[in-house]
Amino acid sequence: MEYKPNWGLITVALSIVIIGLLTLYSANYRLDTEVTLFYKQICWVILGIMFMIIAIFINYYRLKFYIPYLYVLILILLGSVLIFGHSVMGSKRWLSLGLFAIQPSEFTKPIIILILAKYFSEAETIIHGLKSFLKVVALVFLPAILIILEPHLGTALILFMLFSTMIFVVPVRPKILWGSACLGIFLSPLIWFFVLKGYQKKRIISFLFPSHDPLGAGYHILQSKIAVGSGWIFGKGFLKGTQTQLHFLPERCTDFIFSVFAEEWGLLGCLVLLGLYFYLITMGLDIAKKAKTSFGTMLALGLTAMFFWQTVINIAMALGLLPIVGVPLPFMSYGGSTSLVNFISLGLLINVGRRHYL
Amino acid sequence: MPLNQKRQLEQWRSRTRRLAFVVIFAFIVVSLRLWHLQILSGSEYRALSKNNRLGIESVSACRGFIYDRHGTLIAKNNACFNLFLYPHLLKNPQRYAAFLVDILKRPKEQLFLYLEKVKQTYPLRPLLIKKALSWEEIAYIEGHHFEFPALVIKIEPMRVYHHLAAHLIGYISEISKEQLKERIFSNAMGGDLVGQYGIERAYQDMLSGIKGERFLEIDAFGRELKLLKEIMPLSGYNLYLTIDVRLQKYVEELLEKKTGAIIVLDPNTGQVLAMASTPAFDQNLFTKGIDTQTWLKLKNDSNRPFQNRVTTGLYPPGSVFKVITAIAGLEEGAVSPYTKIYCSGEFKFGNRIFRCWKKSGHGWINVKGALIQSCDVFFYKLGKKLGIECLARYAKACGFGQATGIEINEAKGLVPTPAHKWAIWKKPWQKGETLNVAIGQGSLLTTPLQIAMFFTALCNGGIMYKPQVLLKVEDRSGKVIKEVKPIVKGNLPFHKHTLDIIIEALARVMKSPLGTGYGSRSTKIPIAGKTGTAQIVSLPQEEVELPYLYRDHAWFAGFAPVNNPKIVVVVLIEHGGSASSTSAPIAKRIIEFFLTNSILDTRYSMPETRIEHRETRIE
Repeated sequence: MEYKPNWGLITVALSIVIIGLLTLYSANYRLDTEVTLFYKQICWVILGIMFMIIAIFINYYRLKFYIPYLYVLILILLGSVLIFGHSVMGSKRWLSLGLFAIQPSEFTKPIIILILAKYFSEAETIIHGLKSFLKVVALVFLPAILIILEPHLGTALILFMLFSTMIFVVPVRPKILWGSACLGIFLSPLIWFFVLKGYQKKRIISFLFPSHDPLGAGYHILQSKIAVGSGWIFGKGFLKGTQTQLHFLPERCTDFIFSVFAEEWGLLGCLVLLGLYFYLITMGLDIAKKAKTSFGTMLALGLTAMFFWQTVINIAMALGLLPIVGVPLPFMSYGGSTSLVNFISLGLLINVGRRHYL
Repeated sequence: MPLNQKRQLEQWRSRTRRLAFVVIFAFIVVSLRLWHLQILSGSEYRALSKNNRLGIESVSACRGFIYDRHGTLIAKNNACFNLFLYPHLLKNPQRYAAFLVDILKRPKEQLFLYLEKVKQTYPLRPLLIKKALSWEEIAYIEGHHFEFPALVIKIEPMRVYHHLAAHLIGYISEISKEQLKERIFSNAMGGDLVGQYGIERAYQDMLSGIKGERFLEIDAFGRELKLLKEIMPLSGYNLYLTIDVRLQKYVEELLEKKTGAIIVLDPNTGQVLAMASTPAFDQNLFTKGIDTQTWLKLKNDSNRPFQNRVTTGLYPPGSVFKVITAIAGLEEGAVSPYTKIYCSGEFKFGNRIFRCWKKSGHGWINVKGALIQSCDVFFYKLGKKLGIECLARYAKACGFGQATGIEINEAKGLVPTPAHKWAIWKKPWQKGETLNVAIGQGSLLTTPLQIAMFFTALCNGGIMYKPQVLLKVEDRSGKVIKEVKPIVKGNLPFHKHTLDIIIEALARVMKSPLGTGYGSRSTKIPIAGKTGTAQIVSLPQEEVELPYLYRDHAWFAGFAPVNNPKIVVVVLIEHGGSASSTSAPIAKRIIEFFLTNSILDTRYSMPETRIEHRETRIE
């Protein structure tokens, strides 16, 4: 009988959080108007840890009952963002709650994982008919479409990756998979012409053909690559990254926080950080493998997949391996909703791990 | 656990194991990429980062111009030379401080501390340190350019206002920290100049244009090596207002040295032809950067020069309100046009005596006569008969106690009711207050604009317009993109014959020798109107010279010509005393000016028209 929470996982996550806070401090060091971000993030981290502790000790089976309500709630929130949300740089993502604003799209990620885990653990071994497959697709696409409308492509992409990962583990008939893949290929030109906004198309073009527009949308990728590359093996040192301190680097606190870290800590620092993330994700997979029930397995798997895809996509983006889509780096990027979601998810993951032998 | 569930779990676990390979693969790819960027191409990127002087500079857009209805320029931009400081090029603050003493006119120590602070906090963002340099200053700075590379002079547009309609046009100044969070300024950045007041604020998004960007390669001394790419700024839209500059100038002249408000409207469209409020302020103070002392002095001035008295000045309407009491009486059937009421000069109500302005009384008088001579007792008695709820209902139907819908800041005013008084003050309604409301005194509060909108509807057959200030919008190329049509808000819900009686009475206010406006009658144009005095303190009417601040406000509201109204004028002179000798003559002069040829007098036309100016405009 093991009831103890997984201290290794907690230590690793907190190490990443501390690295993240230091990086955030550095990113705002020369900009007195935004140092407050650092202190704000500390508040979010403390709040997040409190939520994590709750998430560790609740009986997650009891959660199963509330999942459909949570799902409906998040749909309502996503809808009201579109109606009442306030827009920043052309996208409506935030819902103002008086003192602070939340990003419902962030909370969608764990809720989608929960509802898929519930659905799969209650369904038959294989998703048999097309009908039940379409049901799952609808569950994911309903919130995803609302998020695309905001528009927040990064989160929609993560939802899609989560869905794909979970579908991979719960075998779907190959016929259905091939069919939907073909449909996807057929639909992608439609998405290009009707869904994507001008700036999103620009980003994809500038990723595919970097020389096409080196100063427009390509500027961000180039500056990020310069920041990472100029870090060398040992980095320029804490608070000494010129790319960061001279503000060449855009979105230093959110999407490109990895570049800030890479510039100041170099290859060695990056490998340590990657190691921490790798440990976090493999531990998550281990928990999924050892879970005693199908719901537990699916839940742990989904949460781990969430950490994995966000980490990999964010870093690959900063390194110029993927086009720029707004995906935060778990436990490092600034953001209240993101931090809360990550800590709650970690708590749930540890919770599943506690009940291995239950 | 049932068997098939166990099997399912086994299957899931084996597939999860396979996922581990995906994870390992992804981490290897990322590590290899890091190796590539930081080791293989490391020195290349390090060199790039050292020489990274690839900066993006924003280029401010040319703010749209503001014209009057005939295309006469009211607000424009002139080229102006501004001094900027590039903090990352600042090497020796002590020397810079010594150099800047003459230009910034500040003590050296203060400048040194400022530069030290700047150097540490704002790298790579040019800071505006002085606006509108003189030619001598430009020559001096340019002459020392190589010694002080951090100082750069840039040509930028500067807003220039003609000294006209300051409250309506408003002004622009640097955006504040709080405003940066406001939604209407969502496209603005710190340091931007944004509309703070009047039209400049109301149409900020149309006027502001879209900023451009310059991608620059700069050498270590801050000199531009190469302009890599430039996105040109897009100028803002030009606005044409409904006001007529000539009339506006004349109106402002009439208000000079007085405290008050005048609004002139076209009753057939609701368009504002002139709007003036005094004391006014100099809008150009803000574009050059106002110093704190001047600002505080203006802000704390007891005459409130920043208040637009036309839209936010709240005054009891005085006898002007008798028009509404009369309408209510006629509509409710409380009086007929022929019903006569006796005025003895005073009216005993409870243990209080309410006096008429004419001590000897008006004798037997009907509603028309009461309006013409502005008899108080008639309306006390009528008001008592109608009751406060009825008066309030009619006042609200005439647009009082609510916003008129004008684009600029406005006050709603107050139509008092017992319920309202109880809600705010927790005090019961006194019956005597009803009598005060009936003659427009007491806690009744209106703005000159509300009175004007009511008179507009009164004379145009009952159409309530939304006051209109914007005539049309023109884009950068001169194409008209929006023409504003008059917006009808509703109708005065009264019978036509009631309105006819009122209009006839108002015409006779000016025409009849007994009328309160007889002294200001016009020999050229038939005018209809109503005088009013808003009491500041209620004293028995005695012939004493009151101190200025206790003198009554003088109202006049009217329109002309009576049969085919083309102009509505409302004049309010604060502490002007008697209306017939202060506000009514001003209104008459405005009407005569507008409806005769005097408006063509060259003294009131402005030199810069739209066509001439297009070429000199900097884009």
